[in-house]
Amino acid sequence: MAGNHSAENVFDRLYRAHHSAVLAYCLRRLAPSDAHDVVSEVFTIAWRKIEARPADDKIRSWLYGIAYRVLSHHWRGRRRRHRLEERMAGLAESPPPDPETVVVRRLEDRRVVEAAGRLRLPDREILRLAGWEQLPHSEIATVLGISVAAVDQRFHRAKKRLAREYERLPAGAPAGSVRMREGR
Amino acid sequence: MSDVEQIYDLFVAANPVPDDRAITADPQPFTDAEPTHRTRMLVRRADQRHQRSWPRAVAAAALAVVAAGAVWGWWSASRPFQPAEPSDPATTVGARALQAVEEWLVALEAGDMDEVLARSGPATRSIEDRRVHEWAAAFSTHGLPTIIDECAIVPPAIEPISVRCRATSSDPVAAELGVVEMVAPFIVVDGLVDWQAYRGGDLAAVNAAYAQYLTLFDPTGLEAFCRPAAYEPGTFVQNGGLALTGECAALVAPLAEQVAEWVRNGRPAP
Repeated sequence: MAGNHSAENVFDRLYRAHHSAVLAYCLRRLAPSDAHDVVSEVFTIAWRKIEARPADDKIRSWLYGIAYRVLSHHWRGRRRRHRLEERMAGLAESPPPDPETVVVRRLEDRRVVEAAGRLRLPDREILRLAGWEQLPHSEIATVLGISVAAVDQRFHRAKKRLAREYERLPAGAPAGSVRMREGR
Repeated sequence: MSDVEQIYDLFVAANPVPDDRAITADPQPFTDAEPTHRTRMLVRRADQRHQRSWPRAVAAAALAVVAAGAVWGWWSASRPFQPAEPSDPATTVGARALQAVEEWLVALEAGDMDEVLARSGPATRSIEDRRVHEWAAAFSTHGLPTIIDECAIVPPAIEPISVRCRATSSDPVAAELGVVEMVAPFIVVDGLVDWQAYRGGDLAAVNAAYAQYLTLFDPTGLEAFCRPAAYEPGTFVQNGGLALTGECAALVAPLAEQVAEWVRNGRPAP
């Protein structure tokens, strides 16, 4: 960590440079109404830890890592809230649709997103980081806090599992629900 | 191109936000707030006359304080006395205990051990507890968290408050051995959280499976990081033949899939 700028200037620069990327990361995993709250929390944590930030070329991965942990917590809370709603005498409203639900239009998209939704969270996250955030494996390793070798191995397995789940789904049949099972 | 790659390409193409740059949200709101401790350096031009604006500012502020005081006095005099709503002490204490557990878990998930220990009660603030927390946090950061949710107070909500949560393991070895859901008990006193041992799942069998795998396939790693003999007595907790420390978790967590597969295949010798 270097530089003569004050922490505020550094944070301001970091925020402006990476806000879009972090927001996009959240929008790929959450409904827009939740994504903005999570982005705020990510940058609040980043501000608290600004003195411990990594070198500039690792900042994006560092922010994704924070976002991943905030989202894990968010999903846990969301699942709890949904259960509570469901217990309330049938008054439960459907939770807001996930971005995948809103955005996927083509049948094949639906099918592959549903297949991904059947994977365990670590597998799904590694596919998203590689395919949607377009991160190299070295950066994925930083985000998830694991070795590059472990990323290589898991990515390979996650792709095979995705294909297996995809093949299990009936071809051409519209998916009933494409909500990803976050948090688990 | 194989089916696997074609399907992965479909997944990539289903990206809900294909381009980060398409996000047009203005990042201004976060930076609008003026930091109160910012140091400003004012540079005056040589021809700029000294303008003492502060006496006017002080006078305006004083006037505002007097006016606010007058308004508040009028408002409180005109308002009939209303006693505060009595709160339900049990509900309040219970809600605070649940909040304390929630915040403790957030610190654990973040791997912030100093924060975890600062929020821990005296019964679980020792070095061995820190190491157990590091063990749990390491599994979490390796993508194998034990999800703790569905927390509820065990009546009565009187300190020390007993909180029980559901713990769901995402460790594939645990799944292979049928350990999926357990009970995670906590005791909360004065907002400080003591994490008790999980109940309802044979985690010793899971840890023993890791130990057995390391014995066969990585005895050097086992000796260096996971053998109880590698640590000072009284500074760690052992279970199933493993020392539950962050160092050991960092060795075994990345092997989880392999160990699960090995267990599934009947634990064959190399």
